[in-house]
Amino acid sequence: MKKAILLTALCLAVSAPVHARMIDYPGSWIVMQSNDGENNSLDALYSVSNRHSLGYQANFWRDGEWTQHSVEAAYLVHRWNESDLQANLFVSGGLGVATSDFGEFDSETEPAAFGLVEFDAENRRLYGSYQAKYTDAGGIFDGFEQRVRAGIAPYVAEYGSLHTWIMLQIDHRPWASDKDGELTWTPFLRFFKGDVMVEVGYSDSEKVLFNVMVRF
Amino acid sequence: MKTFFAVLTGMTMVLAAVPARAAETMPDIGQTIHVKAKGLVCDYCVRAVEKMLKQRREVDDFKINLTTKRVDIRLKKGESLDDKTVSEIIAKSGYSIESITRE
Repeated sequence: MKKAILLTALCLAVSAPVHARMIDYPGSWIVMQSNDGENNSLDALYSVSNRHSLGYQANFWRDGEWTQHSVEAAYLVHRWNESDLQANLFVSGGLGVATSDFGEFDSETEPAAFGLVEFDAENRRLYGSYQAKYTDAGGIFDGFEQRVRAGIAPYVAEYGSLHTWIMLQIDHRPWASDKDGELTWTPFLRFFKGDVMVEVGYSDSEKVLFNVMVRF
Repeated sequence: MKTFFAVLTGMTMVLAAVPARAAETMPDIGQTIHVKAKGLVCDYCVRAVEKMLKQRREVDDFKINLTTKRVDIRLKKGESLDDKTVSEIIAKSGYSIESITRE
């Protein structure tokens, strides 16, 4: 039993999640609800320490009509704190199940896992991030995706004010049916104030991006 | 004579009340710690510092300035936080200490 717990803990320790900040101060919760052209997801992460978080992730992939439920964990590999810059390297991952009733699948359920690496860097004017994610959901899905984000703040807001960023997200999802291996470009606006962050955008595939992140 | 004692008693009561009033109006201010931190760039992320400081009973008030990268922490009267504890609070919030000064 101890071995099983240890193995599960090790698997979780090397796994990872999505968007923005995955790990916060010890004892905090981060809840993220994300929607883009392909996917709707929900993440709830509890920061066990300032380097580890554990939680739950649900994904619904609209194109293939399949759902993934995972126990997820994130780890802050390294943080660079400079006088006017912060950069982070995260890894994250999850273990769970995928279900689909689409096409040849008849209420099929498969074990599923994902792994993710993310790097971000920002100062008060500029933001950039790169994320690579691999998902294996048995016979239902198996694919790699990557995402680049870049942003600029049109004004430098003080602590407690409304912060606004003009951002661009570029997704590479080779398996996305409507893109034929091409990139998806999504300009969007990011707003945050207090413990709430909202992102709203519209892609070149004419699909809406809408993300909300709340911390408590 | 009665008038003299009445005036004396009245004056004594007034004078006795003065220090009491002064004590009531004296601001209950403790030490202020000035922390200069590295990595304070994102308002959303810096909220972690706020949350961590609010958990400390020693802290009366604080001010975060993203421009100067400073966190000014005012302690309650009679309370103290040593440099090691302040560094731990800032580190757990995700930042690095550049300097700590006190007044």
